[in-house]
Amino acid sequence: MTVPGRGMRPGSTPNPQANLWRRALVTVARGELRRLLRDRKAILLAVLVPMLSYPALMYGSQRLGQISQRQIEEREVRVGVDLSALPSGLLDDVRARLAQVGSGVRFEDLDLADVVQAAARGPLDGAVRTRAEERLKDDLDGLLVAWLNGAAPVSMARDAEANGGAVLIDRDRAAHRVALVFHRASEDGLGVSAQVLGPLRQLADELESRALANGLGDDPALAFAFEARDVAPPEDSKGLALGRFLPLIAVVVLLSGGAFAALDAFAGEREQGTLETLLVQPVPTWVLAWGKFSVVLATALAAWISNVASLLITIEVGLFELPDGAAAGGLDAGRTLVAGVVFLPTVVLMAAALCFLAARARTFREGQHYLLPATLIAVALASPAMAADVKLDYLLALVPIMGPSLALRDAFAGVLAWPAALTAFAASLGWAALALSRITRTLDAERLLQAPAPKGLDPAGDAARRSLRVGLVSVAAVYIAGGALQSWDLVAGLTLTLWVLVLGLALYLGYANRRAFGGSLARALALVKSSGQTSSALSTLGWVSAGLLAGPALTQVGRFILEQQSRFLPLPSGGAAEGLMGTLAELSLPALLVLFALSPGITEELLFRGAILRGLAIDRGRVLPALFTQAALFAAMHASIHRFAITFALGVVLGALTLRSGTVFAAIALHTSYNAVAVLADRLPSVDFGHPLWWLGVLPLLVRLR
Amino acid sequence: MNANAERHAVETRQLAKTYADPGKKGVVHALEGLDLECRYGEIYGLLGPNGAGKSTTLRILATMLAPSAGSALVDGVDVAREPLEVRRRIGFLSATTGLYQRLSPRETLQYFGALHGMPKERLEERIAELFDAFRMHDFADRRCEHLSSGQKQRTSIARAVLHDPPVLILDEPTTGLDILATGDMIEFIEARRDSRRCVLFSTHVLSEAERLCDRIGVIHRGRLLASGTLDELRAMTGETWLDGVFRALVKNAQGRAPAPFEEGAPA
Repeated sequence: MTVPGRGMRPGSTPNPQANLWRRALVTVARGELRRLLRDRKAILLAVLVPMLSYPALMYGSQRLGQISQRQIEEREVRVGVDLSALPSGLLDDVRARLAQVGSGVRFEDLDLADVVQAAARGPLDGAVRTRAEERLKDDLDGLLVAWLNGAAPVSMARDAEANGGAVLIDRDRAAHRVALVFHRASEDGLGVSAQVLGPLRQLADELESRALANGLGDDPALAFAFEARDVAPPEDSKGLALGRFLPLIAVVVLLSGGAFAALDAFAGEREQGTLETLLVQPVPTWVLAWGKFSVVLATALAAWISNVASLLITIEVGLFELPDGAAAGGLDAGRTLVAGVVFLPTVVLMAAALCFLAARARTFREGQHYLLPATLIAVALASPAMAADVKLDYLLALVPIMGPSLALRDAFAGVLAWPAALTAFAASLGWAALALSRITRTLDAERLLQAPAPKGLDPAGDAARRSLRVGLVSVAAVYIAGGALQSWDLVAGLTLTLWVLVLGLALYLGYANRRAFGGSLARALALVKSSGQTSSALSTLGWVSAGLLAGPALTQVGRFILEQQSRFLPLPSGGAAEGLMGTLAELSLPALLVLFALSPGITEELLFRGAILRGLAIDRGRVLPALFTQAALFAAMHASIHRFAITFALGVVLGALTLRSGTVFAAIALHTSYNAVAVLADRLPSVDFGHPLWWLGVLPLLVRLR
Repeated sequence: MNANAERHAVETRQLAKTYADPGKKGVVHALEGLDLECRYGEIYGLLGPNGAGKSTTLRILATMLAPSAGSALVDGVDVAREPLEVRRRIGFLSATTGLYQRLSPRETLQYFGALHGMPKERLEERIAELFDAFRMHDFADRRCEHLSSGQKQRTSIARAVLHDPPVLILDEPTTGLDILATGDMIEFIEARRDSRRCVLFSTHVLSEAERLCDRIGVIHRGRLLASGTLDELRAMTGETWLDGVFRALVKNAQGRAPAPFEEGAPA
């Protein structure tokens, strides 16, 4: 299996040899680069066009920003209020106005004397910021304070001087000042400013014009000057605004910039027929692979750097306005450096991933097909950074792309939590090292030179392709037809969906695939082992019991996944399951168990772990891709973004169980048990399915799997 | 330097290659105990139908694939133990060999010469030599994507013999070529006949084998059915023409060997 020459590393070879390989690596890299640079069309499309499209992108993201602004306006926030300095008439006016603010804002009267004093001393000085920030940490999202405008005469005189002696009407005439203090670098702070700022500004304006109408200087005590004080330093506001979407841009640019180099270096080499020639040169495979990888990495970095430059120019020129208050100007160099370093291993990881993808493809075009799903996954992992309230913690730090993306955002906003950021850095270094250790495999001749068998002569390949097709059709059919049936009548619709649609698809696929399984439908459905061996009734019974016992523990794992996920994807309130149980209150417990546990357990397992997984996994032993593909299909069938992660994980567990046990029975039992726990938890609230002792139920399964 | 009479240019002992294929009962046997001997100074033709194991054999000899069992020596060097040394001693060319579209013939040769670790001056000398020999000066600096098929062919050949290897391995070198290019290729193979060199090539075109080969090996379903000069094969089978010889050998083999492939199971 090993290609000779693999596994050698520069350190383990004598020096002259190492020199030779270094020279060969440079030769390969230079050759790749030269061919790449001569492909003008590709350079144009991969680097120049994205660079030039930033103005459009910025415009689009501003529109998106307006949409998210609307969401911000609906946030629930708490504002501390200390208006004791206002006379009662004015206070009533302000109170009346506050009462009109949306129900999302809760005002609480507090003693904020310290903030008031600090605020009265001067605009946005250090003391106000410190005092206010202390209060804002205190579960408050904004502060509304008022004080007597003691400094007014001085200020007015200074203004008069500056305006050439003419005394203008300005707000400094007002005897009172009211300030709304908030922190723009948090979503809640933005929510406060979006909801409270407007009405108060309006009131101040109205009072002022009333005062004007009544004659100059009539009664300044009845007006007040209003101001908004953002306690977030400008570099924080700006950093956050940039840092939130930089990870996303980084991911997209790195992938699209590196992709064309990777496709050229790997898939292109195969398509042109130069790979064979390359593999018979007296150079170890790792030298070739690393030479190619280094060019992919360099291209990705070049695309990234040129794109960031273009982005910054777009901002400087003023085509894109950062959210109000975030002043334009140079970014903090230190923060940019930290952000760059934190993200660097991720760049390496993505370049390596591109090489793997491109090496799987036989042609340039095939490689391009792999690119879209890869980009979507990477974007999904980077997108939590868009939400300012997803916090970087140790768990998220471990996730590739996601951890470094959050760290990059926090680095720009100046709120980097160092321990978690270092964890993210270390974890992404680990991921990158893992990917790099496998780079040599991209040129594994044994795999690359295996020609695909022609259609019809390759029952295994046909079965795999058919399984994928039927899997996709199942997802659509269950979503459309199943959805329609269940909205007509839940019980009858669900029964029909599972026992007719899902089971029918499973039987059809098993029947169509049977040629790849020696003509046996039972083997195609994983009812017997793939070798054709029937397992004994006792062994099957053992698997079924083990599966049934492990259900509650699996439910706990599911709950953990949901908890973690809810931190950046909150579940809609009033879970679907609760509502469902409510409408089915008249059904008996056994009926519920059959309908919601046993039926999906049997039919869905026969389709996904039986027919589809068996069919996918048969093709040249590509077991792991098959496992994840069927899990993704299973998750997609549930048609809920909130339940995707949990159903995907469930699909992986059930699939792995089927692969290890050889038949689908264990998965049927575990699925049934898992669903049954949900039903029982509702009907039998006295049983605590969250108890750690349920984990003992996993033991029989572990013993059997060993 | 290689004119060692004791040593064969190519020698395989019980060479076997199996591919994993879980769809069809585990494995496919591409080669089952192949014994092959090619001498210096000869052109050896490997003859067989599609799927006989010709490409697998040549790819193992070229160290692209690792043998599952048995051994193979090229110019006295074991392919499994010292693959890089073997690669220095072979030139390889197949029907599917392509060229880098955006490099010129000169750049192509420079690239592969550098990978062979040839010193720069020696490399330039050798490239000039090859341009003379294959009349390549006219298009030496044009990108390969703009070359005619004959020009591409000559570039590929020049690339394969750039480092003047003692053993040249050609996998169906004339497949897909037009008449003129085929003629060029045959002339080239003939011109490689040299007391210190060996050309091993596979083909399913009988006339090529008749014309070029000093000795012929007939391969079928992963086994060498017979090996010898055309006259020896004629004597062995009693047939006059190579196609008759070939048919007789295959027929004989099918009579006694079980089919290694399971046909599709009954529906």
